[in-house]
Order: sequence, then structure tokens, then C-alpha cells
Amino acid sequence: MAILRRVKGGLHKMARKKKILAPAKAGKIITPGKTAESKKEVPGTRETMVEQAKFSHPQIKTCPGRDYAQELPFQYERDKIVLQVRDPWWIHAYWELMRQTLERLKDELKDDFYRAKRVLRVYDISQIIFNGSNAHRFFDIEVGEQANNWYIDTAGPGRSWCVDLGLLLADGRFFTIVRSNAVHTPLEGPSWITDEEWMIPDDRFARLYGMGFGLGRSSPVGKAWQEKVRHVLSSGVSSGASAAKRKV
Amino acid sequence: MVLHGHLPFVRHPEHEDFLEEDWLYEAITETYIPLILVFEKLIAEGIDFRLTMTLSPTLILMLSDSLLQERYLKHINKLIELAHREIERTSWQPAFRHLAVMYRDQFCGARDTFQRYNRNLVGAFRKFQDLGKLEIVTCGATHGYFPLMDACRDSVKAQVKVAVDHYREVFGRSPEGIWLPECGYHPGHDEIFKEAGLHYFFTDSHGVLHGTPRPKYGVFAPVYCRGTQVACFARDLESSKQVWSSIEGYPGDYNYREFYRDIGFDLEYDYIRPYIHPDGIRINTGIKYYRITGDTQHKEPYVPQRAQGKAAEQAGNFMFNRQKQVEYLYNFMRKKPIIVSPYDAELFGHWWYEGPLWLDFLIRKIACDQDTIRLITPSQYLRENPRNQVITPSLSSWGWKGYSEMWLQGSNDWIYRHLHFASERMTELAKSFPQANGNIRRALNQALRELLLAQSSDWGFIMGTGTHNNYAVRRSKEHLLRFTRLYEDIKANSIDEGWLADIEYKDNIFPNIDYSVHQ
Repeated sequence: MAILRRVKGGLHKMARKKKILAPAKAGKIITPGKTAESKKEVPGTRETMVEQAKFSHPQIKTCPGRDYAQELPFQYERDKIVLQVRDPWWIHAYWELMRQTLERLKDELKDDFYRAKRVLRVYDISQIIFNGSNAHRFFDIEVGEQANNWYIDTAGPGRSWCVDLGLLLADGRFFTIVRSNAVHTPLEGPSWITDEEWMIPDDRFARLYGMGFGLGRSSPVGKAWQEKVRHVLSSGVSSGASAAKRKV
Repeated sequence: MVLHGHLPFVRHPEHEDFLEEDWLYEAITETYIPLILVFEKLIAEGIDFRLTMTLSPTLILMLSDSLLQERYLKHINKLIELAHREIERTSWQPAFRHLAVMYRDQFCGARDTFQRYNRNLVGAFRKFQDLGKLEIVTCGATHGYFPLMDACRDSVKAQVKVAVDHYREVFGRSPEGIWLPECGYHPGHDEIFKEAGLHYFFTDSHGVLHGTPRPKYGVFAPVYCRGTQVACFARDLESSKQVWSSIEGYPGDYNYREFYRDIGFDLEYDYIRPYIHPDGIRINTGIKYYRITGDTQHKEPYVPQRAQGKAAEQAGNFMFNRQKQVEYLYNFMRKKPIIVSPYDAELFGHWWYEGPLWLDFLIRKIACDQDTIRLITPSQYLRENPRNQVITPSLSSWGWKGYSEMWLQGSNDWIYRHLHFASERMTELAKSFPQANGNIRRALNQALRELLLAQSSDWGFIMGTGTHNNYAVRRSKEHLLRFTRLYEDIKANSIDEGWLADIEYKDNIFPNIDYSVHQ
């Protein structure tokens, strides 16, 4: 936490420094008394407003006559739960269960089924290969029988998540009905990792390398030669070549 | 500077007059033609410039469609007629009459330009690209929102591949980069871009700023995605805010034209009736007589000369701020910084009437009045600065709140179970029929068309904003239902040719589509 505070302070300092060099007399348009409000401007609001203006006509009450009266099916007869990420904190799950699956569960669990709660079990599976029982932690959300989707507040940006739809039996046992895909929530701020890695793309490097030997793309041999170098770079054969050299 | 031009595919040949087709006609008159005129003049006067522009595939398809071209001509002729009537009506109102004349001239000019390019404005943008002034990047085939398609990555592949193939047909070359719909990036999708031969894409600032590891130069240099070497350019918020901000932004200046005072709403019903929707619903005509004036309901008449002066002043201001920004950054970075300023093309002209003029002033000032900064395209920057940091960008978008909430909320979250399932079925079809021919092939291709149309992020967006809900919901359902029927008919090997021909005619995007890309 201490490191993050320092970083945040550093960034703030940078912002302040920039302001000194962009003096107000440059004629920047700032409506007096509204600057405080501008800090509260939610990202993307303005873009949304302008994009909305593209569709700038009022809604007509009746759509022109259609032979279209069909509705999309309520569900597709499968046992499935899908997770999606909404933002660093929230994920969304939608699911459906086949009637047969529920019937089978009723048969298997008998009375326990009716006393059980239908539950979403949300697992934090960051940086592990999840086998069903090795999550760092989990929490349960009780969902009604009629529910088929849910917004989940993970309160954990930058983590990986997986969700089981299951039954929490009265004796505390959890019975997984169906398991979701894994998702990863983005960070809500700059990364803590600062190790830098730099590169030039293979084709660009191939050209520079070639130019160093007078084998630029304009030379008849150059183009073919660069293709060869690019292939070598991207297939990692070069390390094998240098090993051969050492032998000699 | 990046201008992102996109409209969802709206074409209803089954109706003579369709309200939502107006979106295209308005954009042509108020955005695309004014921009074309700006670029033409700059080239004619030998003023150099470099801009990056997206023309989304659906926009290109509509601009090239002969039915819509015909309808546009009808539309602009009607507007010219209205402008003539307005000139007459305002004979005794000098404050408005000269504006009516201005609109009449603008609309006549629009019609002329439209005819000059043989009714296909894509030709104009292609010309500018061939002259080296514009770098046109591609976009998702139907502007699908990729982060919420990650559950069915085959669809992301299809969106990208179909777009790239279409781009090659239209522009005679491969696209260098892609503008992600809504700047929606999901880690891992860069593999798909690489496979399609793309070299760069754009994200919102936090896409790079919150990437791992931390970017040394923030948003002021591109980064390469780990593992794929695809470059990522992030938006600079400071320059963006100067234009986008509703509080500090240029378009809000009191001298500029007020968007919400259109004669379609202001004038007496009987007079305006022939020029609004046939059902009698008032709509925007594009003729607006007032300026913003202030934070007040009372609006004063628009004075073009004052607005022009303001545009020139603000262009100078924008350039000055960029110069200062670049000087500071260079001292700090010791590397040439790039400032990425992307905007919806429709901001210029349609929302912000003086936008194209501002852009014109800006380009001229940058070219002629200084030498600290210059306009550059991403490809050029990468050629001149090939060494960049490697990071994994973060999931992000430039939509409301910076992530996916705009497209994943109560009003539109119901759509995804249907889209994802349809996508799985499309992959199943593509794998089951590797070498289809005849009617089965036609049906498979049409199935992909229907799926792509259902995936347009515009429907979710419109549902999220609450206006035009009916239309957006209807489009989503319609395409999904058509897809489902095609799926069932193909599996049962019983294609209804009459019905197939009908929807091929209505949903006629991507004539040379290949269904097998969806896997």
C-alpha cells in the first residue's frame, strides 16, 4: 500500500508540473466556477452523448408493419453458465439449466433438494489451475429459482474468477451443477510491476540488420535475405546456430 | 489525429421511407462531405497533412449501396427545396435570411460533391489515402463489441477477418491497423489482429496506463503486446478533453451553433410537415438558426463570422497546447512523444457544426505557422520509432465509465446468451461444412451475415441509452431469428430458396463473405 501511495503521489506531482508549463494565458477555455465539476466528469460521458446524437431522432411509437411476431427462446436446453467482465470490480453471470437436470437432481437428492438453496459460488482462482477445491477463497450468493443472471461484485480488481452454479445443502455440503469459464478482471490503477522489456519487431529489425550489411530492401538480394533473417529471428533457430559455432 | 467514422447498417428496401436511414443522410450532409471538402481544398493548395481515419465496413457498405445513394439524392433535394422556402419565409428577417442562404448553398454544394464522386463518397477517401494524406484503418465488420464477445472468440476472428477482406476489396491494399469498436480491447485479442495481418490498434488511455508492466512513457509512445508484437496506441486525455469535454471543450463555446434548435421542431407544423417524417413526427432537418449563447434557454441568432473567428482562435489554442505538451514530454522522455487524439467523425459537423472548419484551421496552422509538432500516422511513427516497450494492455473501452457497463446493464444484458449461443452454432456449421456449394453455401454465408448484424454494438448502445429502444431490440431479435432459422434449415438440409433470396436482398452486407472464417 505504501508503494502505491508513493506512486500515486509521483503521478500527481507530474500532473502539477505540466500545468506550470501550459500557462492560462494561452487562452485555454475554462468556464469560471465549473472547473471543480469537470474533475467529476465520468469518463466516456461526453463520447456517449455525441455518439447518441448520431441516432438523433425521436422514437416512433409503432414500428412499420412486420410479419415478425416471434420471440427469442427463453432458453436453449442446455446446462451452461457464462461469465463476463463488466469492469474491474463487477462480473456478470448468466445461466440456464435443463429441466431434466433439475429432475435428476430432485431424484438424487430427494428431500435435501427442496431444503437446499440455489447458490452462485464465486472462486478467486488467480494464478492457479483450478481443480474445484484449490481456490484462494470463495464466497456464496444465494439466487432465486427464477433468476437466470446476476451481477457479482468481486471487490477484487486484477484477479481471476470462476463461478459454480450449485446447491448449498442444509448440512453445508455444496453440490456443483455447472461451472463457468474463467475470467480476469482488469486492474483499476497502474500496475505494481515496473520491470521493463523493450523490443523492435522482427521485420523492422531484419531491415535494420540488412541495412547494416548494405542489404537493404532496395537491393535485389536484400529482400530475400531479409525474409531469411526474419524467419530465423521468429523461429528461434539463431541460438542453435551459435551453439554450433562454439563447437568449432 | 484519428477520426472514427461509423454507422450501423440500416437499409430497409422493403419500405420507401425509413426514419433510421436518416442517420446516414445526416452524416453525409453534415460530416463526411464537409470533411471531404476540407481535405480537397488543403490538397489543392498544397498544404501537407496526415490524418488517420476509420471508415467502418458497414459505413462503407452503405455509402456504396445504390439504393441508399438514390435515397440520399431524394433527401438532399428535399432539403434544398426546404432551404429555398426558408429563404422566402425569412425575407423580412435579415438575422435568419442569410443563414437560410448559407444552408441552401451548403446543401447544393453537398449535392454537387456527391455527384462528382459518382454518388460513392468512399472514392473520395480512397483518393486521399492514395495521395498519402489519409491512413484509413479498418474496424470490426459490423462494429461488434469485442470484450463481450470474448466468450465466443471465433466471432471476434470473423469480425476482424471479414473486415480485413472487405477492406482489401475496397481499397486495393491491406489495412495497416484497426480501430477497435468503442476502443474495446480484451487481452489476447491481439493474437487475432496479428493473424489478420494488422500491425496496430488503439485503446483508451487506461488500456495502456493500467497495462502490465507499467508503461514507462505512459500514453505518449506506443507499446507492443507481449507475444504478438502488435502495437497499441493509447488515447491522450488532455488533448481529448479540449474537444470532448462538455464543460471545458471547444464545441460548447457560446458562439457556436446550437444543436438542439432545429426548424424541424421549432417551426409551425403545417409548414414543416412535408420535410419531416411521413408519419408526422418532427425530426432534425439540419437547418438551425441559433447559437449556444449561454447556459440558458434563450438563444440568440447564429453569426457565422463570429463562429469562424472562434474556430480559428481555438485551433490556435489547441496547437499551442500541443506544442507545450510535446516540449515538456520530450524533456522528460528524451524520445519523440506521440499524442493520439481520436474522435468520432460525426463530432465534426454533425454535433459540432464548426468542427470541420476548426480542423481545417488546425491543419493549416500546424503546416504553416510552426515546426515543433507535425501530424503523423501510426504507421509512420512506428517506422521512425521502431523500438518500444512490451506490455500487456488492460481490458478497457472508451465507452461510459471506461469498461463494458454501457453494453452490459439491465437494458441490454439479456442479448448475450443469444449471441453467444448463435456464435457457437456458427462455428459448428463452419466445421460441419468445410466445402459447401450451391444453396447450402449461400445459406451458410447468409447465416454469418445475420450473426454479424446481430452483433453490432450499436444495438446494445441504443438500448443502453433508452432512445430508439424498439428499433434496436427489433434488429437484434430479427437477425438472431433469421440466423436460427438458417441454422435449422441447413442442418435439416432443406433451404427455403425464396425466403433465402429475400433476406439476401435485405441483409446484403459483404457480398463476398466466406462463412468458413468463423472458427
